[in-house]
Amino acid sequence: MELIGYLLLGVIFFITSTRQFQTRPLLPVLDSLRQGKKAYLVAGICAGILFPEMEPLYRAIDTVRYAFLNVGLIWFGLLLGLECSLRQLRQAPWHIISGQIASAGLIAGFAVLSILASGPVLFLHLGLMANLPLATLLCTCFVLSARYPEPTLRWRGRPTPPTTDPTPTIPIHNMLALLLLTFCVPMFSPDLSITIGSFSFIGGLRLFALVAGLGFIGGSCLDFALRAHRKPTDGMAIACCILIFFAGMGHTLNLPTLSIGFIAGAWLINTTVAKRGLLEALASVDHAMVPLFYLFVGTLIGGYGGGVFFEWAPLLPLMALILIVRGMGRTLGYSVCQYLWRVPEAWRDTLELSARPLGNLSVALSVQTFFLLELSHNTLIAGLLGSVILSQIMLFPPQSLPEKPPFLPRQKD
Amino acid sequence: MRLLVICLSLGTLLWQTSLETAPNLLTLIGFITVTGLTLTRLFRSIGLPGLLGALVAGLILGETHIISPEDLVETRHLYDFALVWTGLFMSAGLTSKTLTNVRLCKGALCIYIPPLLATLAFFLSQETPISTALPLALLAGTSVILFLPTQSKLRGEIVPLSKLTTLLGVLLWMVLSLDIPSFFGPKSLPDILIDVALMVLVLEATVQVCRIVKTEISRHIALFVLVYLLAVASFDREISAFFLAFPAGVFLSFRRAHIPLLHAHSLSDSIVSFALTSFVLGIFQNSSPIASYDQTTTLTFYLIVLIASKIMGGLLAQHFFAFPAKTWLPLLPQGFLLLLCLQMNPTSLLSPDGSLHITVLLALMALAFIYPTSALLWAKIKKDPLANHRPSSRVI
Repeated sequence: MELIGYLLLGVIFFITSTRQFQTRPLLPVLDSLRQGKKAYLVAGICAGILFPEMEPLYRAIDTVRYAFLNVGLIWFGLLLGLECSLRQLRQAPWHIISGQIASAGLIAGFAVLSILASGPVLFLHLGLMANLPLATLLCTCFVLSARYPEPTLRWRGRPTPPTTDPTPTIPIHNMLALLLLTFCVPMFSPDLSITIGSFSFIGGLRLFALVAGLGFIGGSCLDFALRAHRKPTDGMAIACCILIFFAGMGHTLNLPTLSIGFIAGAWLINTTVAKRGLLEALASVDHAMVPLFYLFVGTLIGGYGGGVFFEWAPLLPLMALILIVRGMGRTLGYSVCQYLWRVPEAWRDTLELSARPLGNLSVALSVQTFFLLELSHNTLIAGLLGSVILSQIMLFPPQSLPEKPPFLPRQKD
Repeated sequence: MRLLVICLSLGTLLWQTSLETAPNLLTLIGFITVTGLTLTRLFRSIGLPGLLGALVAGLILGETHIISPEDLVETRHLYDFALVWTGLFMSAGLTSKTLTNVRLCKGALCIYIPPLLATLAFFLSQETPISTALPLALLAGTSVILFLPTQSKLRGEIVPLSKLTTLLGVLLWMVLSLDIPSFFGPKSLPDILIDVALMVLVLEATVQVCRIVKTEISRHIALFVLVYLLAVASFDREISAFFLAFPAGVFLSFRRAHIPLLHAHSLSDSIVSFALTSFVLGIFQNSSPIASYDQTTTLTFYLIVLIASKIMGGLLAQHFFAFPAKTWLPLLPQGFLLLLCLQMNPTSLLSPDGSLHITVLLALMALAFIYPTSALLWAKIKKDPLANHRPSSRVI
C-alpha cells in the first residue's frame, strides 16, 4: 500500500509539473538538467530512499536493476560505436582530427598525472581498496568524455548550439575514451584468467581478444538480425534481445560491457547498408532506454544495500576537483590545438569547448567503474555522478552580438 | 536462415560459458526471447501462426537441456512481468462499444457454454474432483487471438468474439474458483477495500498519464510501471499474475487508454513469446510430457470431446445469431494460454496431482497446432498449383 501511495504521489507530481512545463518555460539551469535527463536520476534517488533494498517488494526488482544497468552500458557503447563510421572519418578534414587527438592526448596525460598524484586520497577517503592503475584508467576515460550531441548551454533563454564546433559530427574525445577503455582495461584487470568451455583466456592480450571477439559476434548478430527484416524497426525487438544477451555475457565474465557494445556498434555501422533506417529505429528505443537507465542509477545511489552509498565529507571536494582537473586539462588541450592548428579559430570557442559538460557516456563510465572496481564505499562513483550534474548547470554567458543601428526615418532633402 | 545462425551462435556461447559459471539472468532472457522470436518468424514465413513457434522453441530448449531448471527459476519474476503484459495485451480492445453489443455477447455465450459443459462432464465422468474439474471447464471455452494463421483476416467479428469469450472465462473463474480469503490473506475488510480503491486509483492514474503524455515511449513507460505493480501484487498470492492483469486491461480499454498496447506489435510479440517459451521450457524440463498409456488415451478422448463441443458452440452461434463459420472456426485452437496461467508456475503443474493438468494442456496445445495446420493444408489444396501451367487448347 505504501508503494502504491508513493507512486500515486509521484504521478500527481508528474502530471502537475508536465502541465506547468507546457505553459511556462523552465529556467535555463533546470532546462539543461532536463535535457540531460537528470529528472529521472532524481526520481530514482527518491525511489531508492523511500524503498531501500531491505523492502521485500522492492527486492523483487533487485536483480532486474543490476541487470538493466548492464543493458544500459552496452546500449551507450553501441550508440557511440555507431558514430564510428569509417567513411565519415575519412571525409573529415585531417587537421581537425589530428587536433582533436592531440588535445585528447593532453587531457588524458594531465588527468593521469593528477589522479596518480592523488592516489593516497583515493585509498584513504574514496573507498578504493586495490588496483590504482585501473581506477586511474577509468577516471581518465571519464574526464575525456563529454556531452554529445547536446549543445553548450547559455544563460539567457533556451539553449543554443555553440557558434563553431571543430568536429560537429564526430565525437572524437568520446571515441578515444572508449578506445582507451577497450584496450587498457583487460591489461589492468584484477582477474587475468577466464575460461569459456575448453578455451582459456589468460593475460591482458587474450582478454582483449575475448572482448573484441564478443563485440564482433554481437555486431554480426545485430547485422544479421536487421538484414532479416525489411525495415530496421521490425528487427528492433530481436536486436534488443541480442544486446541483452551480450550485456549478460559481459556481466558474467566481468568484462567492460561498454567496450563490447562499442565494438559491436562500430562493426554494425560499417557493415550495414540501411544506416539511416537503423539510426532512426535506434532513436526510438533510446527514448525509453536513457530515462530507465537514469532511474536505475538513481535507485542505486538512493538505496544501496539499505544503507549509505557514499560519505558526505569528501563528496563536494571530489566533485570540484574532478571539474577543475577536467577543465584545466581541456583548456590546455584546446589551447595547444588552437596554437598549432588554429582549431577552433576564436579563443571564446576554445573556452566554450573547454567547458563542454559531461554527458550520458560519462554516467555510463561511472556505472562501469562501479562494476569493475573494488570499493569499500561508493563515494568515488557518487562524486563522478555529482560532477556530471554540476558540469551541466554551469552555463555560458551569451555571445554579445553587434548591435543594430537604431531605426532612423529617412530625412527629406 | 540468418536468425537461425544467430540462435546457434548465442546457444553455443551460452552452453560454453555455463560450463564454468552459472549463466546470468540477462543471458537467459536474451537467449530464450531470441529463440522464441526466431521460431515465431519462421512459423509466420511458412504460413502458420507465429506464436506457435514460441511453443516449439520452448519444447526444443527443454529437450536440449541448455538451460537448467535452477537457472530458469531465476527468470521467474520476469516471467510474471511477461504474464501481466500478456494479460493486458489480450484484454486490450474490450471497449464499451464491444461490451454493449448484445449480438456479440450472445454469440460469445453460445461459443463459450458447450465446451464448458463438455469438459465438466468429461472430467466428472473420469472421477475427477469437482474442485479440479470446474476451473478447467471454466477456462476450456475461452479463446484468445494468439494462434491464428497469418492468412486469417483479423477484422470483423473474430477479435471481439474471442476477447468476449476470454472475458467470460476469466470472470467466471474469478467468481467461482478463486479462493477470496486466501487471496487477500489475514486482512480486515476496510484494508481490503483500501487496497482495491488504491488499485483503481493506480489504473486511473495510468489512464491520465497516457492521455496527457503525447509520446508513445512515455506511454509505454507508464504501462511498464503498471505491469510492475501488478506483478508485485501477485507475488505472494495464490493467483497467477495474468488474472490480475486481465481485468486491469479491460479497465484501460473501457477508459480508452489501450491504444499503446495495441500499437507495440514487436514489443508484445517478444514479451508474449518469452512467456510462452519459458512456460513450455519449464514443463518439458521437469518431466516427460505423457507418462502413461492411460493418460494418452484420456488426452485423445478429451481432444475429440473438446473439438466437438467447440464446433457445436460455433454452430449454435451460426444458427441463432448468424455468425458465419469463418468467424468462429478460427477460435477453435484458442484457450491454451489461460491454462498456462492457471498455475503459479510450471513446477506446481507437474505435481503428482497435476498430471491431469498436463493432459489438458497437451490437448489444447495439440488443438492449437491442428487447426492452423489443417487450414494451411486446405488452402494449399484449394489452390491448384497447375492452374497457370496447363497447355492451351491451341497447342493441343
